[in-house]
Amino acid sequence: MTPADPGHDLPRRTDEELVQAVARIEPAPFEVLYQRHGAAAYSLARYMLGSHGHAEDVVQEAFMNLWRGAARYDPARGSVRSWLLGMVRNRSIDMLRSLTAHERRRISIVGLEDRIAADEEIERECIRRAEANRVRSALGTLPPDQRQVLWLTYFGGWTQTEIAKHFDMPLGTVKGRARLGLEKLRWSLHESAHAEG
Amino acid sequence: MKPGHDCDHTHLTAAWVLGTLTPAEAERFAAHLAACVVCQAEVASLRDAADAMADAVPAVAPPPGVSARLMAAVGREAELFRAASAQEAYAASTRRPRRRLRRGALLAVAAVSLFVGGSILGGVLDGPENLRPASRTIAGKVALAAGGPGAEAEIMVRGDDTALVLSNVDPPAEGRIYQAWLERSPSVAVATGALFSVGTSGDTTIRLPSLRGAQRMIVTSEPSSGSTVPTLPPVMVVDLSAPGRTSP
Repeated sequence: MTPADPGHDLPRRTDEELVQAVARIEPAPFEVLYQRHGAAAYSLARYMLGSHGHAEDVVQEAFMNLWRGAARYDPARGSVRSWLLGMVRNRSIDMLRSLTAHERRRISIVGLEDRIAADEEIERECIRRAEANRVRSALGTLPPDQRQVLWLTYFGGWTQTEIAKHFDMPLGTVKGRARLGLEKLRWSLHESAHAEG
Repeated sequence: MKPGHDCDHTHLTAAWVLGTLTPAEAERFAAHLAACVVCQAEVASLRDAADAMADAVPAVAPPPGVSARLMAAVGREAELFRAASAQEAYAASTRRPRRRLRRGALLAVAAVSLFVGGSILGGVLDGPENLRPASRTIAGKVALAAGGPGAEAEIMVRGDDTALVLSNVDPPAEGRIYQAWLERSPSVAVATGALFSVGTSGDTTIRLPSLRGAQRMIVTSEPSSGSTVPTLPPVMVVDLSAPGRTSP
């Protein structure tokens, strides 16, 4: 890259600026977005699906949706990262729901929290993020029943009705745990950010 | 609902953020949310917490092939878009008015060439394969300036004979001619010697040299005597790495 090359400053541009450029059919800003968020997208998909192959498919679809839908991005509805990871999560949930009930239950219950520990072996060899530890610590402060509801809904794609039925509890209880859990998580994350700042 | 007031719907905010409302519930809550600043504020703050959960998972680097496949797909779509845009502008300046090019429509056309058998980034992007000696037909794409989605460009390979078969293609602009090229790499186009026009029927068949070693066949609109290198983006593209159809 030379200074005259309009792409030389791409790494310094914000995600929102890059998405605006992608909306003009420019591949180079798209590549920078992938470099920034590809690992997070792949990590989320792989964790939710427990499969490298499925995770690759989901990440490719999410980024192609970003490429083709960049003009529809609305900053008022969240960051580019949230938008992208939301697409990854939604597509992963679609894929989970296409699995048999047995496969899905195995991934959602047996796998989720256990895989955090197991995958840390992989993580040591790849990428380490301080943010991951901060969020895990915040999640660790939640009462187990609230954490379980959040975990199953966010990563497992379970509906609250499915959770209520599976664990034989009132739907209102599930909704309450989800809301309390998210509020506590928000508070805990705010506290840890404040302590670091 | 105004700020500073409670709202009966806040018990739904977490489920909304987590995406676990039923479709009917989600539709009702979306209508409410649009008018309730109390729920809007709660949704915004809970969304931050929910978004943060994605960071809790172990970080794993994606396989390097993912980036390569994505950039290949994006590059092809960008090229198709540029080609169609340039030809659209050229056609608009020299010929009858045409309908305005829409990004979504073009990318949708491009996407068809990139999704094979319902699987994203399938064999098309896995690199060129050697042309098989068996009879084979490979469908290509035609830019709007040369007829758009209603036009067809196919390469037929039968033994040692190779032909470009065109249907419903618009003729080149006055004083111009179509020229076919073979690309062995993305930036190296070799003239095939095929200079041709298209009659009012829009149908014609052009004989081509061997495709061996070529990745793509492209057609550009050139001055009537032809050119030594393409001077405009292609109006037709046939990806020779595509699997194509075979017949006995």
